[in-house]
Order: sequence, then C-alpha cells, then structure tokens
Amino acid sequence: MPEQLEQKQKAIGQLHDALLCCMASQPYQKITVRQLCDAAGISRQTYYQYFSNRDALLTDYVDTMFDAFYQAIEGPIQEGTPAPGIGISTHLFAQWSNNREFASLVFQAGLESLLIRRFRSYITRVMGLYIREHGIPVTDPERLGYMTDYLAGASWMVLQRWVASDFSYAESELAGLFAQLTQPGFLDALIRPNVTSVS
Amino acid sequence: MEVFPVMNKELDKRVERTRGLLMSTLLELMAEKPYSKLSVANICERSGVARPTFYLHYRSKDDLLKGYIESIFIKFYEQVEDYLTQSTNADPIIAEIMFKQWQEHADDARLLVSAGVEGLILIEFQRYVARIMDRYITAHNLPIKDSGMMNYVVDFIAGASFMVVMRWIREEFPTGPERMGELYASLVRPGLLQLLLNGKI
Repeated sequence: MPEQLEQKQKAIGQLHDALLCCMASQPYQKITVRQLCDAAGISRQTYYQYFSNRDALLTDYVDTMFDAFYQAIEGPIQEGTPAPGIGISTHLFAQWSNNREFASLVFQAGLESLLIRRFRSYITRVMGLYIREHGIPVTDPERLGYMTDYLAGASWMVLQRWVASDFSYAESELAGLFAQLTQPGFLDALIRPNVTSVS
Repeated sequence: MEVFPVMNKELDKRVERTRGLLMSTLLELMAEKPYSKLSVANICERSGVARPTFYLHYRSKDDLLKGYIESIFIKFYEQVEDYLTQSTNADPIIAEIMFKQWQEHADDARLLVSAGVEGLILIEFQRYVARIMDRYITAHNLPIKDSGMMNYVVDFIAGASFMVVMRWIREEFPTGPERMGELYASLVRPGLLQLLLNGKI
C-alpha cells in the first residue's frame, strides 16, 4: 500500500526533525515522547505505531544514516580487492560530516552505550559483507567479535573527537589515519591463511 | 587550600588507607544496588568515614570511582614502563599485562561493566593511553609533526582497547590474558608502529 507507506515515511521524517529540534534545546535524557509528538505534530498513538519508546526513534535516526553509508560502500566492497584502501573510511567520515547538526547533538554524555551498541551492529554487518564478498574463511567467530568491538570503540572515539572539534581536519585526512591504523592489522588477521583459534 | 601540609610517611599511609577503604566500600555497595542510586552519604555511612573527610579526598562519588579505575591503570603503567622505553618494538606483552590487570580485578571489573559508567571508564582509558604513548614517543625521540592528529591516534586506541576489554569482562574472561594480549597486539601494532616509526604523523 504505497499511500500508507508514504504516510509512514512522512511521519518518521517529521519525528526525525522533531528529535533534532528537541535535542538542540535540552539534554536527551529530559526529552519525552509527548514532546516529540508535539514537535512533530503527530499523535502519540501514531508514534507508538512506529516506535516502542524514545530510544527507538533515536536508534532509527542513526540507522537511517548507517543505511546510507552501507549503500555507499556496498558496491566498492563487492567490486574491490580485499585491501579496501581508504574507501570505507572515507565514506564513514563523509556520512557524519553530511549530518553535522545531528552529529553535534548525538555525541553527548549519556548516549555512549546506546550508540556504541549501534556501531557494533553496523560494523558486524560491514565485516560480514566484506568477509562474504571476499570468501574469507572464518574459523574463529569469537575472534571476529573482538575485532568488531575494537572497530566500534575506535571509530566511536575518533568520530567523537572530530565532531567535538567541529570537524577540524578534512575528511580525507582522518580517513587516511583511520585506514592506516586499522588495515595492516585487520588484513593480516582476516586474510592470513590460518586464523588461529582463540582459547 | 593545603589539605595535607605535612606529607610524612605516617600521614601518607593514613591517606592511602582511607582512600582504599572508600574504594572498597563503593565497590561493596555497587554489588548491592545500582551505581546511579548510590550517594556519598551511603558510602560514608557504610565505611564509617565522616563526610567532611570524604570530601578532603574526593569531589564526588564519580571522582571516587575514577580514583579506583585510575589505581588499576597506575599499576599497569608501572609494569609496562620498561617495555615502552627499552625498545621501539612495543612488545605485545604490554597488551597482555593490560588484560592481566583487569583479570586480577575480575569481581570489580564485572561490577564496572554493568554499572552504566562507560563514559567514566573511557576517560581513564584515554588518559592512560595518552600517558603511555607519550612515554614511548619521548623515550625514543620520535618526531611528531602534528600533535592534533596524535590526539586522534590516542582516542582510536583508547576506544579500541576499552571495547575489547569490556567485551572480555562481559563474557566472563573466556580466553586467557596471553591470547587476548596477542589478539589485541596483532590488530593494533602493525598500523601503529608504521605510523609512529616512519614519521607519518
């Protein structure tokens, strides 16, 4: 039902805007679903049709950003060589600098654990895509879990500093640094013929 | 304000004792109820330390918790300092020692990961990664052209090590510190050493 879908997308778009607006004027923890609905001009009933609580809306916003990022890197990963160069990193930083307003609001105290959890789930997907596309045998999923968390923490912290500094370095500079710090170790761990098992 | 005008050995020991008591009381209470529900008053009541005395040592409950986390890092730093300065190799044993330190505090580490204080712990990781990198760079006279960029390197490593350590604690230390140290070092060393030793930053 295209009309229903359209309505849904419109309501979600309004709620995303409302979230930005509310976060700009007060700490996230103080925002209520009622305020979000008032700001978006939708009913609470409609809100709960799409989101189970306040955090679900924030999560959805971040997920929307990630989806755009994923779409941007999917092609290059599928077509590229196992050494992705700075391609993935460049898209990562571009994604956040394209959403500066949201970025500066979301890197605030108290949201660390929610966002790091999301980062972890995104990185799991990206690593999965990468591993599938390049046919890398994974003999040790536990090790992969640690690698995911490693990247989630590293990217979270680097992005946080970048956002807090009001994007003080160019995207390409940070993408270069990120790739430089990540790839030698990761390529070695993933592509090395026998990934030794942990434990 | 001079809180401790005469820092003689006797007084030093007393300070350490009081701080140790406050830290262990905090952890004891954290095992009973959520960190966010604890107050300085609770800590004082349980430990028998007077509130004015508490505030001679710490600004707040968070400050006390930070003090505890820092005490783990101080021991870590003392153990790795020689490895940092002896060679530019950044011996993987440094990572192993990091994991060992947390395993030695296993019970408290479990409390910390479930207390919703990620932000506080992360700041301490950041501080000590900065200290360790600085020691390494100074000891080997490495030229750093862009110190602003260096801050990003510190944050990268702080975030990465924080997350790996937290996962390991959450999963109840399924792997020994030697293997964890090896895994972590294998991810961080190749890129970091290239960056620092080839004057790329």
